[in-house]
Amino acid sequence: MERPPKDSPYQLIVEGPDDLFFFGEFQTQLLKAGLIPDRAYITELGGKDQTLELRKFLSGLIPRSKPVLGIGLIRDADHDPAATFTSVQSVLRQVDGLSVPTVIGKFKVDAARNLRVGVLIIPPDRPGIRETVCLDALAEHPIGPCVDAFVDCVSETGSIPYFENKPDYFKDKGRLLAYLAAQEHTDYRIGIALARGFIPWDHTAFDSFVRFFQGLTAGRGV
Amino acid sequence: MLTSFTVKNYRLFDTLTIEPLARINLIAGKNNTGKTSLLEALWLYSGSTNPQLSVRVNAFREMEIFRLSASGIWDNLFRNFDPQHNIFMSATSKGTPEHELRISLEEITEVRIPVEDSGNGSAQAEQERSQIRYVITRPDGTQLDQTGRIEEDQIIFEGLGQAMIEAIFLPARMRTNPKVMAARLSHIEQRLEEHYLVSSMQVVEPRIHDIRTSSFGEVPVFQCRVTISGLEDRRVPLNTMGSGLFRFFELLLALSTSSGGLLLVDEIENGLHHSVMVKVWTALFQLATEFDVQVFATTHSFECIQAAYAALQDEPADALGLHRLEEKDGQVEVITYNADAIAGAVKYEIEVR
Repeated sequence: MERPPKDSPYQLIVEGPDDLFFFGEFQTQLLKAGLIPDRAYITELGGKDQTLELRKFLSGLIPRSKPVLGIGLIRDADHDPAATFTSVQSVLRQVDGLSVPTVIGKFKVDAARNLRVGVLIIPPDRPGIRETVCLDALAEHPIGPCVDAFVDCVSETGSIPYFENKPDYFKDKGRLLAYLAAQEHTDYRIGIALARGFIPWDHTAFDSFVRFFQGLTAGRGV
Repeated sequence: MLTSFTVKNYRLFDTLTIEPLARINLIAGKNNTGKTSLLEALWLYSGSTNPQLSVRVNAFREMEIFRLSASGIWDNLFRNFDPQHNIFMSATSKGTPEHELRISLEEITEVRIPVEDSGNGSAQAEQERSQIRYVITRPDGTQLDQTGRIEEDQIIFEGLGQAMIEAIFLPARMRTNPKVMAARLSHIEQRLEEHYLVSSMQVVEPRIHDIRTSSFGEVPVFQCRVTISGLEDRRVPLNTMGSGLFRFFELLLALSTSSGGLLLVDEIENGLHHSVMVKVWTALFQLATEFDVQVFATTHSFECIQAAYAALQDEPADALGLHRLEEKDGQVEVITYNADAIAGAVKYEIEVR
């Protein structure tokens, strides 16, 4: 995966290394398709409990010597997309000089600073994680029912603690991995799956991702 | 401890206010953004009652005085070399105003009549010349007026007074004269405070037990007692223990003799290997706190900034400040990093210089 220079004017912040790889591949596809003009530099802050890290990172980023033009944050919705968005907003408010977006996926523009800031929660409208959206893109795939049946069967055995007493979206990671297990040259990294075409990046399920990257790197739609 | 400092019309500054200030203040920025000028301004301000400093700042830049004239010496202190706009400096300490300093260059017209010609009314020589004027306004409103002018081959200053704030400036291109260093060590010894110096040295070089001055002809030599594995303690010249340790000693001496004042260091990383910088900052901060000294240091080194953060991250929020000067549309601006910003920039290696 090719990465832009660290001092890129476009900065994307994601939760962990898997996200870094996935969204790195995603923007590679967008760049190849001519849908974005440039790559954003992606930083992962090491997991979900990242309030302090996010505040420190952004506080250090804003005053850096080479101007930042766009900052994007992508977070899993988890159990409540609105609550997750509110939580990110509260961190952004703690950073001096940062505009705080008010709508999920839309960029807030600070004209004086020439800086736009956006937060994408995935999925934006229901509980879930990145894999939930990937499964949306695979909804019509013929092995979809097989995957569902497999995960349901495993879950019903009660032998997988990870699935016990958890919201349904917890199983989306398992569903996607079961799907990937059925592909040629099995690799469970979804960034690789995206690069190999096993996950159709151009499916409408990813439209909000595309718009977000366009807003971040081209200021389109902001 | 100063909490803010404002300078106007000095060298390339129009108006620059730097705040909040910390115990240790790192000044970063590209070349020609005014890092050294900021240190000079702080030095002139702290030594407001001593207009001689207005000449010495040029010497620190190794600027030769080609012509003993007011314009040759002082014009360059003023923004755009234009003395029409007075230099102004002020500061606060915990929100309370400190003194203000206004520096102007003004024309003086003198008529000099040789005594032997005074009776015939001829041979009057009218000369237009300049003098530098310092007007210090204390917080209580009282003022002190001082001037400096050039008389033939001399610069004459009138109305010198005690320094308002103790300050030592360590320029980037000049090492401190060993005699001055010896005088500083003597001063520390007289106050029976050499143990602070030695314990600070031990942070970087634990084998050192004490430091004394001896003379080699006219030149003072600093001897330290060291423990060398398998041998009895012995005295060795400090110079033989590496230029980095000697530089560190120079910093500590200056800091220890600036009690209650400022230590101004241009390019602090000079001569110090990055691997010892955490220890250097640890020791400098401890000593600066002990002697109530505020440190302003310019740097081009990200490793130096990282080391300062590593050494001081668990200290109070006002222990470390990072200020970056940058030129924008012909004006110098200062970007001051808060504690989160320093932490983020250091951890994620975001460019700050």
